[in-house]
Amino acid sequence: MIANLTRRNVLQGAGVAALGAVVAVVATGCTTVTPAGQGAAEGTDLLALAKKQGYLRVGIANEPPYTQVNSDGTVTGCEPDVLKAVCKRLGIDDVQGIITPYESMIPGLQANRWDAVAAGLFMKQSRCAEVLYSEPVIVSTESFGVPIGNPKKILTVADVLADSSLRIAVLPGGFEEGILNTAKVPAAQQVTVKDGRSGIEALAADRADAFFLPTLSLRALSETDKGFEVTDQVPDAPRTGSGAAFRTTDTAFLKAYNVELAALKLTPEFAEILDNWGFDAAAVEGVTADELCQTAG
Amino acid sequence: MIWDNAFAISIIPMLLKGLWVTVQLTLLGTLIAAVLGLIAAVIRRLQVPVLSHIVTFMVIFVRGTPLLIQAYVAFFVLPIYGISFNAFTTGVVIIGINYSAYMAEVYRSGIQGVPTGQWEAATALSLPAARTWFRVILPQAVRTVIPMLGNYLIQMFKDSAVLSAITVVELMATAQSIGTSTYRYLEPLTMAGALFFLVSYPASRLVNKLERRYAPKQ
Amino acid sequence: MSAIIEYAPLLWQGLMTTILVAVLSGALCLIIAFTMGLARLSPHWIVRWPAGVFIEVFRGTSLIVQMFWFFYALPFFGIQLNPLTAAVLALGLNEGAYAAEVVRGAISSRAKGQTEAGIALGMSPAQRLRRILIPQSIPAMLPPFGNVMVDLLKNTSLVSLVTVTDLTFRAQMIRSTTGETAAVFLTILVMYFLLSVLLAMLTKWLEKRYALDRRALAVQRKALRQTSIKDKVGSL
Repeated sequence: MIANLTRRNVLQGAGVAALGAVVAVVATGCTTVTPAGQGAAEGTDLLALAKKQGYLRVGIANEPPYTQVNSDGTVTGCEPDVLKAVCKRLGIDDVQGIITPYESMIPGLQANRWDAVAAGLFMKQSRCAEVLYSEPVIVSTESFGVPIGNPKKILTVADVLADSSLRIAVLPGGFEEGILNTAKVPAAQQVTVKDGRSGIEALAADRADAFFLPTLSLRALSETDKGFEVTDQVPDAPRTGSGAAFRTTDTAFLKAYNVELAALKLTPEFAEILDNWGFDAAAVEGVTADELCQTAG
Repeated sequence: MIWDNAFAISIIPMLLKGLWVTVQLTLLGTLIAAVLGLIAAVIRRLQVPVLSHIVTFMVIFVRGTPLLIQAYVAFFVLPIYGISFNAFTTGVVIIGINYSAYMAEVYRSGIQGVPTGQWEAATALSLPAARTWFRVILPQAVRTVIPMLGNYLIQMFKDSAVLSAITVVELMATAQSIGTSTYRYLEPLTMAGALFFLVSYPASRLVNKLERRYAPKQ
Repeated sequence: MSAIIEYAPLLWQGLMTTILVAVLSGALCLIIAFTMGLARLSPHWIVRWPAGVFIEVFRGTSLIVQMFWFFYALPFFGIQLNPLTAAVLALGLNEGAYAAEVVRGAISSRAKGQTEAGIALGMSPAQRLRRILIPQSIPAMLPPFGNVMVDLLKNTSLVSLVTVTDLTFRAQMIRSTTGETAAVFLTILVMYFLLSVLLAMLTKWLEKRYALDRRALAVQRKALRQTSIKDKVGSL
């Protein structure tokens, strides 16, 4: 067999294989869509499409308890679990999770990389202007992760403003970064960290004095890392919540989604899912997306 | 219209700030690479019993692993063992170490290129080892190394964009953050690419000229 | 460390994706290398010049900027690429530009005599290229190509930044969930090292296989074997 592998044969074979592989990849990879904001094709019915292909693509973050990816690759967490339950009622069997940083969630949605965001992307004015939120699924509070004993006594956003030497770690494009910016905390006091784990490590490495993140996310991180403590809910951080987010052109899908979500909330399944992840189903009763979208930022 | 001129012009100051950080990264990193690489090459050449083998393995290991992962280890893993610096310093040091491995190879060939007659003459004149190295061998070896140093400097300039992954706020990171806060990626990314090109292309032409001037006389 | 073992299947998936990305972009790289490299040797400036521009632009801008551009900026033109395609495209075009220079250098450094002999025999430029220059240049191209491929393999780690689920991406995920930062990153550091060692060994094997003087090498090896047999026999 080796004897037949003359230089010419191998090179010819390699060339053909290479060409074939590349053509295949490019062909499957290329689709042309009109970018969001330029009038996406009115005909794309997301509900029909999702039912036909059997799944909905969702942007998630892998930040428990809001979203979590298990060791076998399955996507779970409070928001995806609720999304899956509602999708089942809509006739969509499965949910395909794509892990992405918070800062890319809305751009990715608009660029049609996924059809929904269910990652605990908290509602606020600037986000509500770019996407359509479902009715809220969870209501959330913010806290600081600090070294044990809270040596710098950081408990409120006002504390951060008062001491200009304090460095606060935040996720880029995250809700907490928005809170600090709205409160006019100077950029010099903000330390960017890429994800939850990096934020905790920044504390340990003394690159930051506190890590600003939702209370429940910090508590989840502290389960595998006992080297820091979580302060109580920050009183001067706006209280807000989140639901699933969709493109502004998917109004029909949003309507159908909200109908099934309301129906789900009336069943015990909803409270079960929230309880399972440590959320309080009662807190979201009577709260509307319009209300939460008024949150500054 | 797809390209927004007014927006593009408005972000130029921010991008230039990022470019300045990139330039600083590159210059400091090249300095570290040049010095560390020389030390590594000399140690290997001297064939010190255990140290030379360790250095040789380190050079092979650094050349065989991605800069991104090395940066992650330097930034995330080292602090666990107590070694923690800010992002910029970590970035400079790790890219310096990465390129020093390549520089070590260049120095090695430079040192080998020095005619054996030079070594013999130094022995005949009973020059001490330090004098031989610093006054005779290295000046000749480094001459041929300078154009390669220039090439690696340009490469490092482009590679430094990888350090945005460990939160160094250089040109690439600046372009990205403009994109995430305004949801417009086209202008910042295109202009960042253009800035990289506008610096590296003339620089590489310059290095080509240097190469021709310092070409080893055959 | 136990967390690594539990998540090993995910790491394995990531490894497979890394290899897939490397193979696909390597193939594209080779295609670009030969197309652009040969174009640069063309006597017609209309062919030479655009190839030159392509090579300078892709070599002169940073690979990670190119990757992000294909991923984030192209959608603004209505072109939507999935992450894998964007990443493979950026890697292949970028490394292809570097490899094109290797091709150009290797072919143009072939002894002038070969080209002249070809002309004397009445071969067309295409025939000369295909039957003489390229086959003879392959051995000279292999070592630098090997370098380009190892470089490409290391650069696949960057695709994790455009959401391709390669080894690095999976590692970040596992680290996020388990908090085992040191174990995870050091593990993939070693894995990338092993991959590049394997690739280097493959390149060495190809170099030996396609060496111009392999017949001379074979004769040498045979002679060595025979002398050692003679020694053994002689000592009986």
